Amino acid sequence: MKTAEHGPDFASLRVLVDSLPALIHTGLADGYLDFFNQRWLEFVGLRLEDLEGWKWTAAVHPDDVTGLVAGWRACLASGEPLEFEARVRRADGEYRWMLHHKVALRDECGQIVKWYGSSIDIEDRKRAECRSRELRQILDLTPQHLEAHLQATLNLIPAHTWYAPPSGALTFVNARCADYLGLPKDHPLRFGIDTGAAWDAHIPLLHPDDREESRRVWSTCLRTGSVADISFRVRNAEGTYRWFLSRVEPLRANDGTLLYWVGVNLDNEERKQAEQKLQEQQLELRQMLDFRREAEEALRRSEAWLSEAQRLSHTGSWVLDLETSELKHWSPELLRICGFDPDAGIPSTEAVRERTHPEDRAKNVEEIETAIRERTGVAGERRLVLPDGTIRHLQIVVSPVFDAAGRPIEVIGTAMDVTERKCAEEALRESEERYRALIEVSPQMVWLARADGSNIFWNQWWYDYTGLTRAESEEFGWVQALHPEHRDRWVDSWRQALASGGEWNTEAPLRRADGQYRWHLGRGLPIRDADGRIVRWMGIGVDIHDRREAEEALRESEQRYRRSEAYLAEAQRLSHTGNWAMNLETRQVVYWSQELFRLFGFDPEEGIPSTEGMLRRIHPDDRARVLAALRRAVREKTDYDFDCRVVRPDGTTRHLHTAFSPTVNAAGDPEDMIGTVMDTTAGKQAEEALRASEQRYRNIFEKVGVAIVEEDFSKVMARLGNLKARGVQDFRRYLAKHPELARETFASVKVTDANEAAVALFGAASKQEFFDALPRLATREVKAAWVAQLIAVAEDRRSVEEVVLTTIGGETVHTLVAIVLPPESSGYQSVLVTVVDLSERKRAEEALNQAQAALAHVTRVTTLGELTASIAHEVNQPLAAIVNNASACLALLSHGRADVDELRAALADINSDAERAGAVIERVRAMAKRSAPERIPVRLTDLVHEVVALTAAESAARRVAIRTDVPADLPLVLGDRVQLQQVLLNLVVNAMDAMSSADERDRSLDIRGRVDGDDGSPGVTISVEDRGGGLQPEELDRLFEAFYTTKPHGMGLGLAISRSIIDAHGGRLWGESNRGRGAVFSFRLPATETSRAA
Amino acid sequence: MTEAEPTVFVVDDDPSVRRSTERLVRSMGFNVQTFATAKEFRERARIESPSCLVLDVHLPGPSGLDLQQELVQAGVQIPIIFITGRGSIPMSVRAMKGGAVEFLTKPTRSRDLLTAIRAAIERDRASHQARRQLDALRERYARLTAREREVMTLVVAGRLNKQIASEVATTERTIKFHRAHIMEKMEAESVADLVRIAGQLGLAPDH
Repeated sequence: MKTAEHGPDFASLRVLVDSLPALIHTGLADGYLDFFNQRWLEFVGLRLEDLEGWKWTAAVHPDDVTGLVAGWRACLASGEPLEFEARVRRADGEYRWMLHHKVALRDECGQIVKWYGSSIDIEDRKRAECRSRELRQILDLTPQHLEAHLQATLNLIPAHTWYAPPSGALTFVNARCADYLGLPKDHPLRFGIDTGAAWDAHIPLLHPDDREESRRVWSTCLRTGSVADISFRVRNAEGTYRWFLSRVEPLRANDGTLLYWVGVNLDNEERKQAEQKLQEQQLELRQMLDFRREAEEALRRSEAWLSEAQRLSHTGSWVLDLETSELKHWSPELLRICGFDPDAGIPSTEAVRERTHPEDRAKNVEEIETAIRERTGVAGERRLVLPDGTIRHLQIVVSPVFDAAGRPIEVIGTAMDVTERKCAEEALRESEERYRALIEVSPQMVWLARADGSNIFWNQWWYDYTGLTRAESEEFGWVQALHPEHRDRWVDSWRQALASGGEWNTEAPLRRADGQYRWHLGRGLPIRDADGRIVRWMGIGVDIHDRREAEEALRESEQRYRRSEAYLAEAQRLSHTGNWAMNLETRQVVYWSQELFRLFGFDPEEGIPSTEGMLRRIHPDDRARVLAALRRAVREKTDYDFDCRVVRPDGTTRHLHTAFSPTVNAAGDPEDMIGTVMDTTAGKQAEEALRASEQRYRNIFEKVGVAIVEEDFSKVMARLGNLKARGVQDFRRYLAKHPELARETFASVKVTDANEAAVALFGAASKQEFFDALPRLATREVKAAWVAQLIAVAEDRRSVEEVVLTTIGGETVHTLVAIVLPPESSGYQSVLVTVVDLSERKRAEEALNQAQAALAHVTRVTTLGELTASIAHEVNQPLAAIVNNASACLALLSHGRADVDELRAALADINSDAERAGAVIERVRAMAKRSAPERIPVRLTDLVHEVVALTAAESAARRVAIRTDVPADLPLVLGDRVQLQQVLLNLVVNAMDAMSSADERDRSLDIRGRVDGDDGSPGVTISVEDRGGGLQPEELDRLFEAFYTTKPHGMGLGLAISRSIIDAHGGRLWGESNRGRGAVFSFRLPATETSRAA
Repeated sequence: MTEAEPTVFVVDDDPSVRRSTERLVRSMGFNVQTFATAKEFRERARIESPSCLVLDVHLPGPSGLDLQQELVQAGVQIPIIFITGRGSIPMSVRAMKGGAVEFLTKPTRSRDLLTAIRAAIERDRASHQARRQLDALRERYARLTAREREVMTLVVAGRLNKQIASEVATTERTIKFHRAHIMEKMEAESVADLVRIAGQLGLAPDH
């Protein structure tokens, strides 16, 4: 029911009613039930449309419906409230006993305006009643058994049940009731224990307002023994009251003896509340009836809405009175639908029949009859033919109404105009038919699918192509013809299209009947209805296999072409090569490769340069040549190539090598000129560089300060190679055996060039003079040196020899000649021999030697100087002895006590002392003499003793003990006696100086000598060991420096000179710390080979 | 007692020098004993008669100057003549200060050597004598009683008898008595003599 849009009252009523926990309905004054609340609808599981009017009767149990309807009619007539029990079909199909109440709402005139009804489910109570009826059968049970049985039964019933003995005193309530009342677990009422209570002892359980009535009814029951129904409120355990509907019945024995009063109380609270609310509302409404016109108006409007609703939904309703066979009701919409005059009122059945399509007329009667017979609603379709000829399609539902007796009294029907829908369907089918025809004719696959994508049609082409059957192809079966690998993709895109509604196309391979897969293009378009909804999909499938293959081939060939283009460009770039092509007719360049832009310095962005532009870039000096070459090539139709230069905009010049050739057309006329250009700048530059470096080399060769002679050794090397091949390894020995080898190889050397320094060295004025003088310059020395050089060359060694050359002028020159062989790959034709003039060096060496000798002398003398005092003492001793002896002799002689023996002895002593003195002097003189160094065998042992003698006085004076440990058989060394003495003397004096501040007891000096085989060759080492302060490592190094001294008055040359003397002797002089106590200075000299001798 | 022959000790490490020196000195008429080192001399030399020592400065081990020092410290008063092949002024000064008789350099003139030896011997003799005398004086002094010594000290100090008596707490007479004994024992002929003796003995006068 559409709520009226006016006033809050009805809306709020509606809400209230829907919220009530009861089954509420309302009806119009004529009995037409126009509203069922939500509870009702849920209970029966139907919509309002199914229940309103008289349709609700269909939900009522067939056995009860007649009675209910009759009762209803009676109420409608009398205006009295209705109370009727009837079964109603629940949503799950089960029938439930309901107690239906209906009350009327009257206006101020007392006219009934509306009926309000409520229904309550009394199924349980009914069951209970049945049970108690059953119970009556069980009467051969003993009273106790009966009681127990009764109790058990009552406990089962889902309501508050109780019983009382004939006295009426409540003796038992079932568990449910007892719990409700809050009775303790052990209360007698739970167990049916007769406590001797009064017949009205239970009254206090009731609401005070209900007690009087209840007592009265109860006493009547007891008195009359009749059934009673009563409502009252019962107090629960919490103290609140709830309404109950109570029925009490006597339970009689077979003979009619009253056994028990059995009662069932149904919780009626909700319903009572609903009733109460309704009553309250009634009061309110009655008040509202002061606004009768508004209410009527609202009513009228709601009816208008209703009819509007019907109109919109093209629905109408009618009622046929079966008794009168006349239509009792024909809704406005129905009038419209049927094309009747809206004001005409209810049409006659004839009129209706007339409107009905002839073919459907029979249905009118048949369906009603069926409905009546089946006692159910019947749906069907009807066509109407309007006067103007239009056809309307209706959907009819007829439903019979029965009275209390079960006789059909009315038929209620609804009709819905579905004409448009039918037409649409028809149109669709027709257009489908049209399409179908087109499709069949079309030379490709055509398909039709539902909005969900399932196929409903394939044209014959499909079946012929795929070889599938209809069954295999419909719905989604056609997917099997797709290539497995592409299936998912195809289906996904199809689904997407279905969802989006957009045009669809995809390519995939489809299996042909012969099993071969060929690429197909699928396309689909949606077909929409008037409302824009997609109702169908239609599409095609086209074989594109060949096209695809062609495309593939084209793509590949394009790729190949592009790749080869790329290769060409790359190759050109790498080789700095470019191509151009010129059309000879237009004289314009038609092709210009990438690299050429770079070569000529053009900007690729600006496109192919003009011929003039190209020529302008050619170097001015070459331009004429280029043009001439071009013309010649064209004229003679030949290929041509030449070099030219290109000046780029940035000023750089590139050398180009160009080759071009003309092409001719079929007629033999020149068509194009094709040119290849190569950048040869790098090559040219390399040539230049090479030339420059050659020049530089030549300059170096000529100008260098060292004399260089270039010689051709190829023959020498060949000869040596042969010998080596023959197994010669020791060339030194070979040469000794075959001296002619040296001669022959020397002769085979060819001097090819000499630089300025070499020419000057040999004293020649020019190269020519030098070459002319060559035979003369090959002196004996030179040839002798060649032997060593040849050996070095043969042994693949660098040869460095000191050679005394003779100049052209006959002067000798000390030189150093070096030969370094070039690598074998050069062929040995250019061997450079460097000659270094050593004259200067030799002179310097000489000067140095002389200086050293002088210096050695000086230090010798200085050392001797240091020894002067001790030397003097040395001499003094023998002198003193001589004087003493002589005096003694004189004395003896003068005293006349001359003992000849004594005298002789004295004189002998004088002699020896004199010799002794002489020897000392001689030694000193020898040391002081400056002489050229000798090289004679020297026994170091003797040397040691001589030095010890020389320093005897000094060591005694200084109280230094000198010990010697020198084997007598030390090998001889080659050297200068005096110089070596000087060295040893220097070491001894140094040692004594070192101990000058040491304790006298520690002043000892050891001179040791030993042979050692260091470095493989034998040698003699003399060591001088002192017990002085020792040396720090830093000092050790510096001691041998010239002018370094630790002595306050020393010159610091002693050790420096000593070292140079020993070095000159091919030996070694060094110092080391003597294990913390003083120092050891040693010198080692190589033993001579003849050391075994002497 | 018979005077022994004077002995000349020669110490020099050079054998020919030693030999020649011995020959020379013997030719002078002296006894000679030679040694090579100071140590030898100390160990083996027996100094009985007047003697002197001809000593080389440069010796192995202790030098000649060292030996001089040792002898002085040991109280051996033997005159030393130093001879050296290599002398220096400081060396000679040290030697002379150490009490040497002479410092000669080699080669030595025999005359110089003889003079020096004679002087040395003489000195030795003299010192011996002096020593003997001193010993005699000591002996005499030893004979004095304590009292007598006491008195002698005072007498030598120039005290009058009276003064001495009062100092010593005795009579003048007694003092005179002591004086007489002292003179006798000490064999002094006069007070001056006594004073001289006291001086020789090293008895410092009071005051």
